Amino acid sequence: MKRDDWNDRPGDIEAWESQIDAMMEQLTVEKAPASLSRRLKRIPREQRRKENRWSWLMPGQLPQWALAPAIAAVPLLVLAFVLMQPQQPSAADVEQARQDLAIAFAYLDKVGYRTGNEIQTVLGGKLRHSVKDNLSEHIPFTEQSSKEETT
Amino acid sequence: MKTSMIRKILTACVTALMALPVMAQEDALKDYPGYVDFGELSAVFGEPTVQISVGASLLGLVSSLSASEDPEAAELFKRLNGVRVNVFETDGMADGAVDLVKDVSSRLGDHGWESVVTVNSNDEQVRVFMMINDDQVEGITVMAVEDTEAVFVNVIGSINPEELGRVMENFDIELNGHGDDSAD
Repeated sequence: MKRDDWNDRPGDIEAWESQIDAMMEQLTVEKAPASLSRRLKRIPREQRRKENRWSWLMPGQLPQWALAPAIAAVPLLVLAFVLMQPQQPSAADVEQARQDLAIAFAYLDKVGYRTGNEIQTVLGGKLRHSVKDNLSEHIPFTEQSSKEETT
Repeated sequence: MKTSMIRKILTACVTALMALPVMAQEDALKDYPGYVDFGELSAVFGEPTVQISVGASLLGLVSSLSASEDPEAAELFKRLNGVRVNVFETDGMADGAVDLVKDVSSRLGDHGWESVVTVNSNDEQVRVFMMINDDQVEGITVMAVEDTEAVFVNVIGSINPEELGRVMENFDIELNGHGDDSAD
């Protein structure tokens, strides 16, 4: 019988349907092998476990490429934490620090000495001249000593 | 391709981590009122010939170890938070050196530092500043730039200048090629 003929003969269709139903009822349920059943049952559990393992790392759905740097960051963060811990300096470090301090103070001393000299040179000279110039107006002796100083 | 990318990321992370302790020490010093940011010294003077940065922890240890040998120095170190020195050798007055000294001086003035000494000559620029709070010196900054050398010193902590002078006398250090300067 051709499929196009079904519309023309509804009685036949009903007969076919009842025949199919009867055949379906005769079918028995094939049991899957036990190993396959176990594996299939395990799938939802494993999937849930996988999701839970990284769920604290991924609040939303992150793309897989983001996982590699995130995993790499964990040991780096641990390393950073270790490095940030205050370390007890060694005896060599302390000795080096003493020498560094000595050099630092030597530079301070040097700058202070030079500055002192500069100030003494500028202020000393100017003060001496300004005082002597004023005095020489009234006291001839200072005028004489001023001349001697210049010669 | 992917491996090299991850390697690059890891290298960058490790490099950043290596610099963390130094940055942390500098950051710790930045919180003190006596800290001075000299700006980009290397851009003007090149690489420093002497660079010293001693933090509070090392100063504390040096202090405790010096207690029996030099009690006065030990007492001074105990109250210091940091000592920073940058020295540059120069051939003539470096371009931008005077401007840098003036800029830093201006900033220090704005931040409440008191100018103690100023030497303004063609061949020498010297500035000494002090940070004084409640009659207590909390920092000393020295900038000395001349034809052959540029020195930047920042002493951070509670300092008595007289005490500093006495402690400096006890140090017997001859600076390279400049040891005779203080003798003339």
